[in-house]
Amino acid sequence: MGMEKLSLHYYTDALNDKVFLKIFFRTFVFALFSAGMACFMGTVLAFLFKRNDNPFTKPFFKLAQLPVMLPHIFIVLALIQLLSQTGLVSSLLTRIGIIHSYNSFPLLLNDQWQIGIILTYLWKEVPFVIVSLVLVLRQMDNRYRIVADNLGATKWQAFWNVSLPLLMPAIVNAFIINFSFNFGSYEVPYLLGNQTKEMLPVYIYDLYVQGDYTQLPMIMSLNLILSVFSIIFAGSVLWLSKHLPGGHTGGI
Amino acid sequence: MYHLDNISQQKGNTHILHGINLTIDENSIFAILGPSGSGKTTLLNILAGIDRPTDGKFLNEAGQVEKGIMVFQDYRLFPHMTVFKNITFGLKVKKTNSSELKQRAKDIMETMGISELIDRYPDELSGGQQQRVALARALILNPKLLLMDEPFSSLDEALRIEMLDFVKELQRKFQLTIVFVTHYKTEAYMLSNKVAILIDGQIMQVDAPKQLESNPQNLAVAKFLGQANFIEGSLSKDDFVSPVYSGKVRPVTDKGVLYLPFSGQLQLNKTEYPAFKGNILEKKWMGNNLERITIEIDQRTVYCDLASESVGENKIYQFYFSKLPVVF
Repeated sequence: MGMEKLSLHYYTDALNDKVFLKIFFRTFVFALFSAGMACFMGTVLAFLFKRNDNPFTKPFFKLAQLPVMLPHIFIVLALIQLLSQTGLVSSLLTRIGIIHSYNSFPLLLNDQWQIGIILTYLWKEVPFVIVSLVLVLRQMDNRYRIVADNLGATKWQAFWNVSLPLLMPAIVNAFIINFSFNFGSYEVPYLLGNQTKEMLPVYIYDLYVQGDYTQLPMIMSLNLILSVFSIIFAGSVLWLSKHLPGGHTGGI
Repeated sequence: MYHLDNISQQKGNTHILHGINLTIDENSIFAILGPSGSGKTTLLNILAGIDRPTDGKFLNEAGQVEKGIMVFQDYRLFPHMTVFKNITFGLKVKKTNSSELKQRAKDIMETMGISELIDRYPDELSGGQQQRVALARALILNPKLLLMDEPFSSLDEALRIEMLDFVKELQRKFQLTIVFVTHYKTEAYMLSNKVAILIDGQIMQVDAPKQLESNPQNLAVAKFLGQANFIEGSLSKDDFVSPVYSGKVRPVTDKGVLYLPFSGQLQLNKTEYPAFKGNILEKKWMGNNLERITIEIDQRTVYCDLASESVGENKIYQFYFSKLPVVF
């Protein structure tokens, strides 16, 4: 194909391509938001589920472990069955007369706000955060909270100054895993995403399946940019977490 | 004076503490001595306000509930905080102003000899240093009542003695009331003139160390304190019969167990209480000019501590009791 020399110009082209940069930024913000939201919700729930002797929260914790084991594609298909405009929920609501036609059901999948993708990520990642953190919390038990209490701290002060920083390395760990998955995920945004708000892996794959071999070096350079950025971002979060309260206790 | 008034603790169907009544003098060191699982830590947790008793009260002289500050057995320094942040945690949560906080931290670190450790993390400290930091974290709050859970159990022998002296010094300097629990009687004896024996959730005896050793109030206390021969026999009134010794005794309970502590009860000098004749099987050097003697009497062995070189091996001696022996 006449491409015989090493060249970096595909990288510079990519980094000067406004469309690429826009999609890259969108994917980054989206991955960041979804991972952050999963960590926030997972952390709150982990504190609720940490006691293994509570008859109320115990079954919930067991139940929360289930989505971790199910593959993403299962959840995607389940969501399509449930939440699409012709899905089960919509049919049920039409049948009982809450909405008068399928079209009145809000667009939750392939929508502008990518609600379908967010729901899939949360469904899978919130339980992952819960499971990771509950194990740490149970290991930590109440030992440090008791010390804080004995030294005069309120419950909030003990949580903010002691429990949360001690949990921080595990939260950062879960955040990096969630972010990396969200940033590089293909099948979920492909099936549930909005085509006008394309995500980076879908954009790259679309370029690839167009079959234009002259685009191959560009596609490979996009791939590499995606991968290198993920690694640099994960490294930066880890570096930053070392300087947060709790950073000394190890990170990952 | 602090009062423990009929304190009981029950978790599920398990009774951990049974009606504990104690008075603890202010400005003193009070030891609670007992075997593992006797309820010592539970009792200390109640004094620290960490646990609530199912029954009873812990009150100070003014009749108010007072919470002691605890130094934990495993120190429990916050692993994510430097020494400075650990020490000032209690002041920070009380929103003490920054300059006072720094000054008090500086003072207490000087007292504890840990000023150079200010920026270190707990995992960069030795066991002894961690204990000093844990003490500083408690003492910076100027507590009246300091609680220590097995404070010296994880220190090596030399450091343990050094810390025992240091804690005594701190008690005098800060005019503290220190309550500490331990299962090592030497620790309790070295630190405190008043020791309570806690066995199976009950206070069995409160006494000075010497009194405890010479006059344990029951067989449980005597067995826990150890360092004694327990010889089974039969008792009728004050007459005891056993293969080792038969004769007059001072009965305390009716279990028929003769209590012969290794030290202080048996001697070679004649008294009005002849004990037995025995053959010396073995002598072991115990330090402090003492030997532990193994005596054989009618194929049974009895141990006793005597001044070194008082007896020779494989010779028969007549032993005497220094006072009428006790039978539980």
